[in-house]
Amino acid sequence: MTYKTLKLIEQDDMAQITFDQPNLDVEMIAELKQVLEYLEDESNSHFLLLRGQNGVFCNGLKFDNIEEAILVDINRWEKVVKMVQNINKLTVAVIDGICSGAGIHLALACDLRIASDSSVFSHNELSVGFLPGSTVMQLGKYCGLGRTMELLQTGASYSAMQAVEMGIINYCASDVQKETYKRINQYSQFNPKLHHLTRRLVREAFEMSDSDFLGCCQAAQHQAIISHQSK
Amino acid sequence: MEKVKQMENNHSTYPRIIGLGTSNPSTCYSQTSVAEMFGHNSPRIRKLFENSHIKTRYLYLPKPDEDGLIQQEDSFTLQKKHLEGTVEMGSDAIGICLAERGLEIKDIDFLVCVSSTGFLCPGVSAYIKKELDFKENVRRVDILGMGCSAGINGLKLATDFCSAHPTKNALVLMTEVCSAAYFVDGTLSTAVVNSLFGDGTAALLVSSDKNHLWSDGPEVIDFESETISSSIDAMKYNIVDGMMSFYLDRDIPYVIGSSIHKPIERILERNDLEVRDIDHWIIHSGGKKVIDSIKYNINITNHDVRHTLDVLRDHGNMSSCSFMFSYNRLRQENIVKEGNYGLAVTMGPGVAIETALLRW
Repeated sequence: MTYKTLKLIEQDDMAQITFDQPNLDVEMIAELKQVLEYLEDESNSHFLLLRGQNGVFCNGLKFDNIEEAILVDINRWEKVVKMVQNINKLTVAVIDGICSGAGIHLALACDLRIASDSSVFSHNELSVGFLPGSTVMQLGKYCGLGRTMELLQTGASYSAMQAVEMGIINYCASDVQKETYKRINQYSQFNPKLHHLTRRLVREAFEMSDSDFLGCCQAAQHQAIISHQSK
Repeated sequence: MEKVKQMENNHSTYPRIIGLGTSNPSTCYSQTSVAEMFGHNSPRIRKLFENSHIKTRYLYLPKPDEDGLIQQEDSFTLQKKHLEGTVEMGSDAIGICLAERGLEIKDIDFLVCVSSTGFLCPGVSAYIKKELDFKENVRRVDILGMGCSAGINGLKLATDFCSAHPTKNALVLMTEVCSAAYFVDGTLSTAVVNSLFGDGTAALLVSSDKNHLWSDGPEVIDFESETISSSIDAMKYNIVDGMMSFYLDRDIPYVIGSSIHKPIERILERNDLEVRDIDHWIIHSGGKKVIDSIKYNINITNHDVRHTLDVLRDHGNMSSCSFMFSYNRLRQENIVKEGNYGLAVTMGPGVAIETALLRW
């Protein structure tokens, strides 16, 4: 399968999506949906790496018609972000360069974010003329209400080191490739099913009360036991 | 690769759900007040009621005595309560349902009545026919003993009838007076049951009339079942001192959770769909743990089960009609679009899992 806006490479237990253009447009959102559906249904890869190229991870959303975009395409975009968040792979955003707006949104949907030291982040949605969507909710969970308010309202850029300090990305390094493989190795020793259940529990822990969460824990634990027995 | 869905809405031969009415008893109780009226003083049982996800339930409860306590009703009184509640809520729900389409009782050709909270002979359908004066040759079926999953079994009969008789109308009445099956003995296992179930009724109108549009209600395009016979004793009525006492095994959530994907995978695969293609989940409000277990096993979200949880919170588990209360909340949200898919899922004794695939 070939795509116009991205490339998919699968090797061993790793799948890698490389964005061939700096901005997410209607075509790229549709192709991302296609490739994620393929990976979910047909790929045996355990890891999924998302990366950009030529000094850009992703520079955010870009639509020809903003009114239409707000009604239709942003909704499609949010669904793609959800797919990344829920896909049956351990997901890593490998950021090397500019990461703005929806690019940060996409990275926050991943299990792990690793950036090169020179990467630069900014929330450019307001400057383009629309709102950051569910980034508002996600970013707040990573860096708190006060920071989220400032970052989204000013669109001010920040460095990879600052992003690490604020909890928005996990690691930064001069050699992002080397760092990525080092970190992925830490995950390789566990049953992938347990990673997926843990990911879901961690996200739900920020969405519900203690008593509601208890039932989720029990359901996940039961799944983990079944998964262990069927190994 | 994105699948190309067969959109046949303009040439549909599938029956549609074109009307719905729901009803409850007039009195709503908080969990605390029910625990108090049943005289539950044990901290464990009080906690069971008060820390539940359920906040309120509509129930037919007798008037408390001078100490504010409800005495155990005898089997005759409970059976009478079941019949009276069935007729009262049933008449109300049917009236609301038919009014949605401007139909009258005489327009109904097939009546399916579903109830597992009391045994009547003649069955519920005979009493409902008499009370509402259905036409003499109305075809009737009663479904008894299939519990919380039975609403979909009733829907299957109605859609089969409408497929065979495209000009006729079928009505499914799911009516459960769970308070007519209450048994109070101070044990934790009966307290679990008494803290969970509520009274309610849903009436559902099914038609194959091709003049109906997607906006009138969804087509019912397929059904799939799963029965986990190895757990047949996990949900059942026991007879204790001549009274019906419902038993729920503590592992029920995980028995259901570990098999729920089987009928869902089959029905989706048969219709060339994936879980992500289902826009609306209409799931039985069996209990918080059951819902959590389903959520984790088929990987659906809190948003997908929002109505299921809300119905549980406001009504408790109303057995066979619960999922239709969730469907009603979905209708009220007004978010459904043409071509959307829905999957109704119910679970009950057997242990049974029933599914129905809907398309707007």
